[in-house]
Amino acid sequence: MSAAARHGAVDTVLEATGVTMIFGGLTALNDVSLTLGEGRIVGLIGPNGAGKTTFFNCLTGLYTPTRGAVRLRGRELPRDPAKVTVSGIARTFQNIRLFPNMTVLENVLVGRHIRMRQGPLASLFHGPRFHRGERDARQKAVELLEFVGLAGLDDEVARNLPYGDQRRLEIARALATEPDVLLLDEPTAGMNPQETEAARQLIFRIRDTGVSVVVIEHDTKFIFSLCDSVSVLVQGEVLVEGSPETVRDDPRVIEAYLGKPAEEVEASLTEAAATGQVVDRRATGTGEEADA
Amino acid sequence: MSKVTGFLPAFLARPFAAIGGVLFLIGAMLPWATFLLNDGPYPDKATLQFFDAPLELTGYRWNLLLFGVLALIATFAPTPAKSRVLRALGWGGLAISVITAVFIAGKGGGLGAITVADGNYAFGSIVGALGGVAVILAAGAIPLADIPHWSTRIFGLTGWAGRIAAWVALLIAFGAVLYLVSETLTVGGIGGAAFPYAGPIFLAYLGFAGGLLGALHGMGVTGWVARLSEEHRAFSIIVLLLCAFALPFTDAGSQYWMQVAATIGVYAATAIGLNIVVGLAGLLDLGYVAFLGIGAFVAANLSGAVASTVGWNLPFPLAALISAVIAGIFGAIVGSPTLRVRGDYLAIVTLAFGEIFYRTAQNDIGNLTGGASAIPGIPPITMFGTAFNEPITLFGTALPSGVLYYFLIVLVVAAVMAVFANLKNSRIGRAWIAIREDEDAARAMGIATGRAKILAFMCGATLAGLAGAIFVHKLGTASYDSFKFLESVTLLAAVILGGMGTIPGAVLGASLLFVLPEKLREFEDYRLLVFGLALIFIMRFRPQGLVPDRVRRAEFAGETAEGKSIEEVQEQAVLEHELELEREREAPATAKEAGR
Amino acid sequence: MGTLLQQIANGIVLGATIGLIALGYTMVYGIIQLINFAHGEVFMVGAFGGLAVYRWMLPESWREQWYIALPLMLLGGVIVAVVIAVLMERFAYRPLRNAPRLAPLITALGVSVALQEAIRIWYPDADAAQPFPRVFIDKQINIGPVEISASGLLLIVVSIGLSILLQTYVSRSRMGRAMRATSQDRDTARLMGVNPDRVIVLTFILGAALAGVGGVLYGSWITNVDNSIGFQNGIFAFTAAVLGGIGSLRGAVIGAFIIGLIKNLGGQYLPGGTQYDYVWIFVVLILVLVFRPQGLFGEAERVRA
Repeated sequence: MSAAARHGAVDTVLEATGVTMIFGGLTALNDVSLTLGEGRIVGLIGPNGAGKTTFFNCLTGLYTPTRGAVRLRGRELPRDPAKVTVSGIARTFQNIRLFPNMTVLENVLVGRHIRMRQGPLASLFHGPRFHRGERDARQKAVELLEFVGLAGLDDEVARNLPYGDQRRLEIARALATEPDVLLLDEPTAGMNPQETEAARQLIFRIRDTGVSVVVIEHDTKFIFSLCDSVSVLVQGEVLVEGSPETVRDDPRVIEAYLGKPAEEVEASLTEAAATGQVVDRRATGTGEEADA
Repeated sequence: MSKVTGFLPAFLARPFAAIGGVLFLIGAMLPWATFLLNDGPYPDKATLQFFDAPLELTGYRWNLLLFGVLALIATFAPTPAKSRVLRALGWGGLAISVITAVFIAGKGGGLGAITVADGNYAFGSIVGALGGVAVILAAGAIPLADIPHWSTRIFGLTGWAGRIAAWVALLIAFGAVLYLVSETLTVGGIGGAAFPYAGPIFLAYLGFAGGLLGALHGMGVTGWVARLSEEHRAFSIIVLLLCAFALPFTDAGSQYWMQVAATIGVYAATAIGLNIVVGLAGLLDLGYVAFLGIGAFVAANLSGAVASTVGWNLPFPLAALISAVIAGIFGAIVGSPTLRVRGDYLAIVTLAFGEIFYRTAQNDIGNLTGGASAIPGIPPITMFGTAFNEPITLFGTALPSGVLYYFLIVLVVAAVMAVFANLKNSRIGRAWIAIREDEDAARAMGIATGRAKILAFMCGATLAGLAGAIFVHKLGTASYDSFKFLESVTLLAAVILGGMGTIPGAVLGASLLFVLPEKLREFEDYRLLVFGLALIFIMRFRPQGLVPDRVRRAEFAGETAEGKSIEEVQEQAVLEHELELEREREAPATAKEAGR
Repeated sequence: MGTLLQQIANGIVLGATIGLIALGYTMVYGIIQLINFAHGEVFMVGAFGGLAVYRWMLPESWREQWYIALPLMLLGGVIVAVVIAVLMERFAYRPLRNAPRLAPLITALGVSVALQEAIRIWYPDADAAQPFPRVFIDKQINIGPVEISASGLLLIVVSIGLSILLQTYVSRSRMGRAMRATSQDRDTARLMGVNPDRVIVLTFILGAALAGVGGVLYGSWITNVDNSIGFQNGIFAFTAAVLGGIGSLRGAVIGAFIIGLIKNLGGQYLPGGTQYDYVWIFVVLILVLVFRPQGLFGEAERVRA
């Protein structure tokens, strides 16, 4: 795909304007805006504690922003994660949150929940319509598993999957809700280079099915090679926004992101991405709880 | 896969197993008590010499004899999962011996009763126990193999031939279950003064049944039957129902046991309802028995009982329906705090609701519950012109009174099971399980978690209300005292003991918790103490319960996903057997080398 | 007016009892997030421990002198309560520390049932209510229209005194700091050199000692004890702890006095009379949990994942 096509005029799917989030006295997000065009992939990077996951939580209705608004196709999002999902935004979690004791297929079927039309009575009596709905859902789930590369693992218990497969399953589960927008919170954390590359291809394929994607990542190389545009979040504020090339060459990003002179950056960028993850996850994980 | 846990070196496994098996045989043939106990010549003619009258021996001594033979077979024949089989047999035999020994020594006044006294000797129990220890040690020295996963295609048959073969296998299996249930109910008699030995005989029998089932499970037979019945679901359901209906025609068909079985049925139905709330949705409910109570009091008021305030006399099905619906409404009310309260706080809220129900029922709120004087004189259910407490004659067999209640309960339990299974395997059931697993993630999937949780409470309460309606007619009185906190804990314990989220688990748990007290009347005083300790031990050592959920079971047992034919299983067993022999040959050689 | 004041006085004495139990609930919950259902039973065995000292250990001549009898009984009650609490922590709860949350709660239920039954079966004559000696000067004190027994007054004084002492200990001492650190974040505390196991045991010990004192004093106030006093008062105490904001020591004590007053005043003035006084407490419990789970004095609500 050419650069011109990627940057052509497209409809806006998701638009966050002036999102501000204050916990007690702490301003976690200050006036953050983000625009996601139809069929685009937008990346969100920034150092730990910059507020990336908090921003995600605002987008998905887990938090109600102190100020600002989030609109999906021009309509303000409801303030309830379940309703947000129904209206077309699906997400994955930074520290994978599958249903560990359910099978792979069942996990995806839970994702189908809101697109199925079985009431309590149908669930009780299992009539012919129930069976039809169930069959369709299963078929769709199997297709999705194939799409993310988990074909044949239907009856495996989710908890027993290898790490990378768990991430993929989480994506399949999110896709099962038939979203317009998919939010991925560090989809390659803890992955080796091959897996990371597979994840990149998977995200492209998801985009090609018409789903717009927002990605949080630490791996800047990954983000720059994946996204149509990138926002850099530092201390709760958008520092720079633009195409990967612009962002990559902006001295402020290098300065703020690493707090180091420019020449050391290239080396440490990759290093940070490779080794920093374990520590990162823990630090932001506890930070998240404190936020909550 | 091969983990050796024992204290014994591997080459001693076979000798020890063989010695243990022989000790079982010898133990069974020796007398077990040196003199007749005061309460009579039980248990099972323990003073007899085997050779005096071998055919007069019954019960635990035959059980031990059987274990001895089985242990020897398992030792010398290639047996699949040998260590598991031996381990189960060893613990079973040990349990039989020790329970009986403790009882005889206790009743007979000291160790003389099971060793030597008055010139008589009786080492049966000690020899049996030693045999048990030997077999257990031997089992520990053999590598622990996976439970074999037998193919459900019997002899590779397909089509109708395969189906018929499966049906025959299932018929045999369910027939054995029926026999085991009947036997379990009746063994040792009723308990109490008239049957002074009921407790120990029953416990020893449990040791036998547990050992046998454990051995079968270790060989993969129970898992195989479970999968077979899964594949032939309709057939299995019909046969199981027929088996349940056949129970009154067995030894267990006395008035007393029918009554016990019906009571178990009521609690089993209630426990399955609770299982929706606790097992599927993962919401701990500590006041659940209140819904049974609400159903009971509503039904009592609609039964035409003279003492009730409302005093309407509705036909039973209608009254039961109303009871269930009202209980369901209260379920929704009690469940509504789930919108805001999570985890153990929710457990406390449900406990508080349960206590409020208990106190208000105790104080006869609105004259609806009869307070301390209860609502007595509730007439039996009458349908098709027959009162359900009448004895009937069926197929030329006179069945005792209470058997109609039993039949009704069997139908209700079957219906409740169907409800549970259908809900579990549906969109709503998956939503419940998702909430149990990770509520935030469930919400992120678009599940309206609040509504789903209230629905879980409603479903559970409705089933309990239905059970309560039958309960109160069967009992004849509705008293607040039947619905105290401890009953809630008991129901919860039934669900946990059996295995959360499964149907057989809830039924098994309810059966155990309500049969055991009947059998162990003489230990009545210790019932609650043992119950409390049992809760602690289950949580510590087997939190997944006796019949864990499919997923958990797979994890704990390390079952493999792909099926194997019986030939393959057999082949593997032969292979293991040869390996074992090889180890035996090698072991002394290396020992010698080391010594040199 | 006289009745009102009298009921308030009775409520305060009951509140003092509940407060001594509630402190243990709130401390244990604060540190390991366990609703220790069996804590009420610790209170109960404490009462029976004190009774045992009086019955079988004190020589006849000492029994009359309250200043000898009472301290020894208190000591006995505290020792029994602490031993039981340490045993249950070690053998019932500790192995489950990483189990799902359901498991320790059910274990706590089991411990509660087992302790009640053990006392009923093995404590001589405890299958019925046992008269408790009125060791503390058997005298009623009149303050205006209010009549209050000397032991009731002592209960109030001791309860308030001990809770102030505990508050000081937790906020000032080294061990207290370790406790607070552990309750904030056990792993970090461990990294800082705090041994969480020791802190947890200490928490159980402190809670049990207070409950033991409470049990003995409660016995001499109410003048008879049975094996169910633990469960009842335990539930009250739990309600008080939640009401005051679980994890907060001061909140637990204030909550306890509120609960004591609700029970007595509700029994006097609300419809249904004393038959329904329990119901009001459970209603309060539900309302608090639903509408203000952080308690009256608790901090802002935290999302519990």
